[in-house]
Amino acid sequence: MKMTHFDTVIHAPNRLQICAFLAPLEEAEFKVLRQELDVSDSVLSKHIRQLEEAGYVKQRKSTVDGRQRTWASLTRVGRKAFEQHVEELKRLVLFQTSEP
Amino acid sequence: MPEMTEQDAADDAREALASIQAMEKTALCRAIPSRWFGASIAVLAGALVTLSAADRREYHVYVILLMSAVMVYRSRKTGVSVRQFPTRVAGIAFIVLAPLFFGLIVASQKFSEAIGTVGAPLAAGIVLASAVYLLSMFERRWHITRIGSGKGE
Repeated sequence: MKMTHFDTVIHAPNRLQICAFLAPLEEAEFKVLRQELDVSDSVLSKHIRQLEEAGYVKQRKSTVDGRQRTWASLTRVGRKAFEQHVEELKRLVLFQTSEP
Repeated sequence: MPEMTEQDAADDAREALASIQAMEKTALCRAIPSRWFGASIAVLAGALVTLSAADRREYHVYVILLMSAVMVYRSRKTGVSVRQFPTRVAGIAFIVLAPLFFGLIVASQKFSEAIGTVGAPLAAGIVLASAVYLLSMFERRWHITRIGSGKGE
């Protein structure tokens, strides 16, 4: 049986989207995440920092042609927390639809 | 603040699941390997066999460096790097490519008298490059199917 857990850190809309985007990937560039989420640098940084503080996301910096690029990825703990959160969401939907 | 009803919680969960699915699809769309990427890796893999069969292993390092450069270029261009390699594809790739790689080197050396010392390694390289290209197209199709079916988890 799959473990479920409603995670308030992940559930905030922007953080949920960050986790969902990173889930099928090894890592994604900060710029790409900002484009896809359509948020400002500061908003994205704030959410990434919150996920990082929870141990769900890690960042890596690299320099390309003298310009610094930041890459974000889900940690193993983050991946597991996200999977459990998705399972909990599915359980909530199923529970409601199976109610008479 | 009014308490959230079960209906509200379920609606919120449904909305969150839809948002998750959309983002996962977007990520997968960005991660689809392009045709040029498959072709480049195929040509370089073919070059590895050709060089091995022609007993020019000292050039392997350049081909491997070029392969790494292609991969780095791809991840820089797309801004993402793929995590979920389909296990089945990876398994097939290993089962097919590893024996094929060594088999082609042996075959090339055996047939070098008949086809020539240039023709045999080249033919071996072309065979492996074709196999790698086919596998890369298979992987591309797998990604597209996955996006189409909405299976982004």
